[in-house]
Amino acid sequence: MESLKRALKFQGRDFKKSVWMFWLVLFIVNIGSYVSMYKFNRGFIGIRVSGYGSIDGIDLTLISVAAANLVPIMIFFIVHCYEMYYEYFPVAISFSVTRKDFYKSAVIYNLIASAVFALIQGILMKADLHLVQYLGQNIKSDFGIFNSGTDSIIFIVFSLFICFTVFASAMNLLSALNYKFGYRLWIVIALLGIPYSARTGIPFELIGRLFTERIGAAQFSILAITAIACCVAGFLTVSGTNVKDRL
Amino acid sequence: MIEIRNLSKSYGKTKVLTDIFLNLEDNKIYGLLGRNGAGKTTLLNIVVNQLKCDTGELKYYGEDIYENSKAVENICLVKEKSIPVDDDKVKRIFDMAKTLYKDWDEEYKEYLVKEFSLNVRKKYRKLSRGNQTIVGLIIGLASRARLTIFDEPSLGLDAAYRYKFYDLLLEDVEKNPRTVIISTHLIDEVTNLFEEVIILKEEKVYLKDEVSNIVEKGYFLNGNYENILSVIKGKNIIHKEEFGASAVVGLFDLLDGEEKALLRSRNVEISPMPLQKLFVYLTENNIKKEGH
Repeated sequence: MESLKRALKFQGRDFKKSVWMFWLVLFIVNIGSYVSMYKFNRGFIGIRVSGYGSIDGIDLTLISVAAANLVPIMIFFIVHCYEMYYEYFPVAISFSVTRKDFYKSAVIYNLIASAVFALIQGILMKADLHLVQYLGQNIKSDFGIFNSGTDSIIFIVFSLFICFTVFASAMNLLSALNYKFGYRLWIVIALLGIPYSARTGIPFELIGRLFTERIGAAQFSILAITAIACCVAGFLTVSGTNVKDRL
Repeated sequence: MIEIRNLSKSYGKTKVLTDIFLNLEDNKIYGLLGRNGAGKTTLLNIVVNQLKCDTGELKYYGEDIYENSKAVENICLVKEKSIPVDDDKVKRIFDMAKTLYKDWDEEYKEYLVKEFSLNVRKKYRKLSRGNQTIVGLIIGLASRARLTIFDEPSLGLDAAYRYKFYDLLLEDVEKNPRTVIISTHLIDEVTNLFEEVIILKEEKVYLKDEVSNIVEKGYFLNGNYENILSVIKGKNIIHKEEFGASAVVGLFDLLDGEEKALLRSRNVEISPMPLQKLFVYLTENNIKKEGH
């Protein structure tokens, strides 16, 4: 337990700072977008969906500023997971941390990040609903997994938490595999994964379903099993991984 | 303290360690010696959990080491290769070590930083090779790990800093007893540090004994070859240089008082063989028992 606490403290050194910086930048971008929308009625960073017909000859375009945060959030998780294995893993193992403790700590930080991000993003999605309407635009509120207009904030945060957790677990597995197998992983993906996906379309369909279907009991079970499976596969990968002197 | 049984490791088809058996005791300083590629670094990496062995057992006070945090947290390896950090300042690397080593001594680290005049504000990769080694040495010493391992601790260090390190290590081990393993090629410099020596050769532990026992058996005999041979027949000759009828013979065997007296009476000069020479001759492949 003491060893796990030390691993958590070690991995947490930069975590808080990077989360603060990330959200600070996103807040500035979001505020800038609202200001831009208010002042110029255009030029904002956000989601704009057309094709909903028109009212009195004016195109009905749905807008959401906060939803655009989802892409940088996904990028954050990818960078965070890769950093975990390519920077922290060799140092931690070199400084007498077991792989097991390192991995537990990595999973705990992924859960913390998912929870924090879901909470902030959930609040932003609700705030976005009112701000965009206040600025005289039509809000896009239906995102498949939830509806920011009709769902409670608890449901929105919960849905986002589940999706972020699944995505972080998958990225955790991918970065662990990449650290272990290096470029060979991409060769396997290119030779087997891409032709299979192109022929059957199954992986894309699955990913699409995972992140667009409203979370009910069945969807929750599928997502939870996916996250657990990724975590178990990640642990099996890490437990047999040696520290590399050269990457 | 450490018990290794039947340990083997290969990289692909290349065998590096085969059936290694070793027992390391508490509070001793061991010298791990071997030619390049003998498997020293591999063995040390296995001991600290950074590599997994193919077969065999590795125990710390009777408990398996691999993925056992209770065991691993008591072991510190200072590698000959750079610490796997890219762009970090030395100060930050020490902070990482402080976070991860449970018995870290911050006060002692500060003392060592001053002793080695290390600039902790510099980035690690911008340090000279010698100063990078010093960062490792400070981590090893200040970690106060029950088992501290130094793999080539003198890489890039000038003589003054090398001897400073040896003095600091001895001083610290006396105050805070622990087991230390030093793997080095500068054997003569550290002979006085070692209590026991482990020599790896041909994938196996070739020799493990106390330094005093090993050095006691190492002799150079200089004189008429026939005179030397008549006394040391059947003993373990590890080196031979002939100059006409004279020869310098390197012997790795015990000589009793009678044999020494006999050799001296035949004008054969007897001198002790330094550990470094002994190691070189023992790890060459021309060892033979004269007369056998």
